[in-house]
Amino acid sequence: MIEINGAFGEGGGQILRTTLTLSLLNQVPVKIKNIRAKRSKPGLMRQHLACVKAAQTISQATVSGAELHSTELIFKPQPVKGGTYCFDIGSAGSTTLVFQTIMLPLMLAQKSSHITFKGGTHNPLAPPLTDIKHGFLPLIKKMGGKVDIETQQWGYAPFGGGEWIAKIHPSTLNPLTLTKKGVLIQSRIRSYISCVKHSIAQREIDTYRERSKVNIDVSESRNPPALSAGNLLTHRLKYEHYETCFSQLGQKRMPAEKIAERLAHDVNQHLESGSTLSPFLADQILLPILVAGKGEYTTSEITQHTETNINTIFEITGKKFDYWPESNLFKIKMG
Amino acid sequence: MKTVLISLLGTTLDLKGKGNKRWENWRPSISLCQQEDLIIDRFELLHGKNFSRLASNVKKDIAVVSPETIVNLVESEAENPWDFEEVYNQLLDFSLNYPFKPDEERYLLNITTGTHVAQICWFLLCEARYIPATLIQSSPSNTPEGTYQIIDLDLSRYDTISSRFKKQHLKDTDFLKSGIQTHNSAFNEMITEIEHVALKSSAPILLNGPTGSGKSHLARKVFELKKIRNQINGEFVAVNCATLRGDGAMSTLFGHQKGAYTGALSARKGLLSKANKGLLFLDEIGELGLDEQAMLLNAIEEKHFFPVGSDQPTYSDFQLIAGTHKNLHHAVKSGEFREDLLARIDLWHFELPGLNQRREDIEPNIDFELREYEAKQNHKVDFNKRARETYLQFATSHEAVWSGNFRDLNASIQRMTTMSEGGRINEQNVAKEIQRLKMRWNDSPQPSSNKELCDFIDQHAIDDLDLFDQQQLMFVIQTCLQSQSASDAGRTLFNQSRLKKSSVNDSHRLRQYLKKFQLNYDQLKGSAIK
Repeated sequence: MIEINGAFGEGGGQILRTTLTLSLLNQVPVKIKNIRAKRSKPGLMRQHLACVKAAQTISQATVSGAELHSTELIFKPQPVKGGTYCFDIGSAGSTTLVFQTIMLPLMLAQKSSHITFKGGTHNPLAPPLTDIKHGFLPLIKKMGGKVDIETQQWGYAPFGGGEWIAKIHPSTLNPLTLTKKGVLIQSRIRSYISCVKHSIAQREIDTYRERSKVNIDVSESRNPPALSAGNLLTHRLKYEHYETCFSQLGQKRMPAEKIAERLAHDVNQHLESGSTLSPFLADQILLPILVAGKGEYTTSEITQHTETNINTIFEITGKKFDYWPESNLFKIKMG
Repeated sequence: MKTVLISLLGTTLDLKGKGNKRWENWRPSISLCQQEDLIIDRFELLHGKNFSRLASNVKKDIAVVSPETIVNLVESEAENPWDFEEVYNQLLDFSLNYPFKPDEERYLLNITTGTHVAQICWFLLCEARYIPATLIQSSPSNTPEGTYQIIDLDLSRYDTISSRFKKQHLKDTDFLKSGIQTHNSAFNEMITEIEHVALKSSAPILLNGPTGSGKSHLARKVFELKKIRNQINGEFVAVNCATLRGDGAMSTLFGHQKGAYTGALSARKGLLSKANKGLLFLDEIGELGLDEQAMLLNAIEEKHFFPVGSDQPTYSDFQLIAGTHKNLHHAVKSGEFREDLLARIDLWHFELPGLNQRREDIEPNIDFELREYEAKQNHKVDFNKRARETYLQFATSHEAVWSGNFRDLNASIQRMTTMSEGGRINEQNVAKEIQRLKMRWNDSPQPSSNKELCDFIDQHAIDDLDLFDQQQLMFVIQTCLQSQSASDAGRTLFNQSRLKKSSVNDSHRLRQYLKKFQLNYDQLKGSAIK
């Protein structure tokens, strides 16, 4: 059985999720030790259990150690089955992390899947569902992945209460080469507000327009249904070769201007580097490229998350991602 | 193992309206269900009838944040949530009817919600193990989900607390022993028990032990301990009942009114009144007359009594410690002591061993006496090494009978310290003292129970008697010695046959019997006094 040291590198929940996904994809039993050893509350928390349970549900895996505070987990999967599933995780973390854990295995299953997610959709410590929809999924679709999502209700941290559906169909992923952006076709900013004053959206848009170093074609606000109050500011960029999305979550007691400034900072840095993918996407796209067998892209920064993920992938599959700096950016390549 | 949360609905804290804004506020019942490191499998939510709607709204919101939690709404209500008795009964009823399965489920009791009275009741029920749970407290923080703390009530797990308890406890027993580091385990156990009884109850205590075994000293110490602990605020009143004889006894104890009898020129308060809210120590209670006993019983039971010549009861609430060297159960049989009074004061009965039964405690007591001397005289006296060894060897040997117990030891040390020079008790002082003690103990009369038949009749006469008759005669003599009068002794001895006679003259029968051995009652009593 493959043993993974959960304390390696970033030492958090991502090692667990990547390991679960790879265990399902390669159909290998795994044992993870020292789970979240570097965190103040080590071991499995509710949000991690939610991922373990989802992975177990789609594969009928035999699991031991799936308990709160457990620092060791053994996961022995069976073939993944597509179908109708519902994962209600309440306020335990984000449903997007559960989605990312099981998306690729379900894509390789023989049957289509219809999955209902209930719980958090917009958490500060997970990719917001909006980013998944406008940043991550366009890349997957570009690679040939057949997946669509439908959002019914947003669920902001810390309560969750969101609801959305993912439809995943059997697909074959093709290699991705994304080293050039091409011409910028469209640039649009959008402020999503739920149960907060409309003026907040306007202030965010106004500030963002001042700070942005790129032309903005459309700026608008939206009022998605949500369980509780919340706000998200996004900037979607459509290039000749692909499209991507940056976002910043509103926080209690943080002025709208600050939210806009933060987002502008991230986007400007990305634009200056000339890279194709944000550091977040650079990390998230590793596993799809592994499945496709080949890929190459650029990013502005190799985060510890990315490094740890590359290492976990190598430990379990023996496949290696190389990365090196090139002028203002980093190039990441496999195969 | 499943985790079960038991909680009262927070009629204020959980009530934050129905709008989306409610999510921005900390609500303890919701908060406890959305902790990242705590899964509540079942939630027993207790609520009053008028709060059913709020309860079901809370249930719905819990389903959002924690879909795995099963919420049971339990209708349970105290009419007045600030009435201690009502709330306690309400929560006790709940806990008695709840099917706790501590082997299968882990219980958390939420003390965040409910009135302070409810919190206290939860705490008490939990501490008394009616609810096999640990306490959990939710508190607000920067984020709406707040934080929580689990409070374990098992005090034995808290090292510093338990060691502080131990220290305090040690101090109390130490106090009762006047700081004497006694080694005798039976004695130490008894002191621990007395400490317990003294601090937890105000029922009468009976101290049984030979004279000089420290009864009155211990009674005073119990009083001082209770005073330090603010359990008593009156005075310590001590009297030896052997000194209360005749007409004065009643008035000394219970007081009298002006003009109650000839010579009663002014009213007198009496010792029982003086001991109000304090502690009354009646030493040698076995010597108390029967009338006084009756009055005392009334005073203990009813907390009031009648002073001599008064129709108005006087109230006095005192703790009683009684001392005796007698076996009061024998005294009851012989009619000298009221059985009902004994039953009342015998609730806590402690036997104080004599010094010769606690030889291992002689050395610490010697040191205590030396310290006392030092405190009184303001200069230190101690034995030299050889002198101490010699004295100790004698003091702990069987040659030393210590018939006067601690009184003897105290006197012995006093004599030696007085005779000592330059703060040293030397071998010479000790040798003389040992001689003195030996002489004393040889001279002192043996206790009457140790008397032999030859003390009363001629040895030749004894030789002529059957063993059977010797034993019978000895028993009769002893009964006479312990009785107040000849008729008193007769009543004890002929206790059955006298019931069948139409006219009784027990003293006559007794005298007849004694006459056979050329003995008479008054002579017997006289020899005992000598």
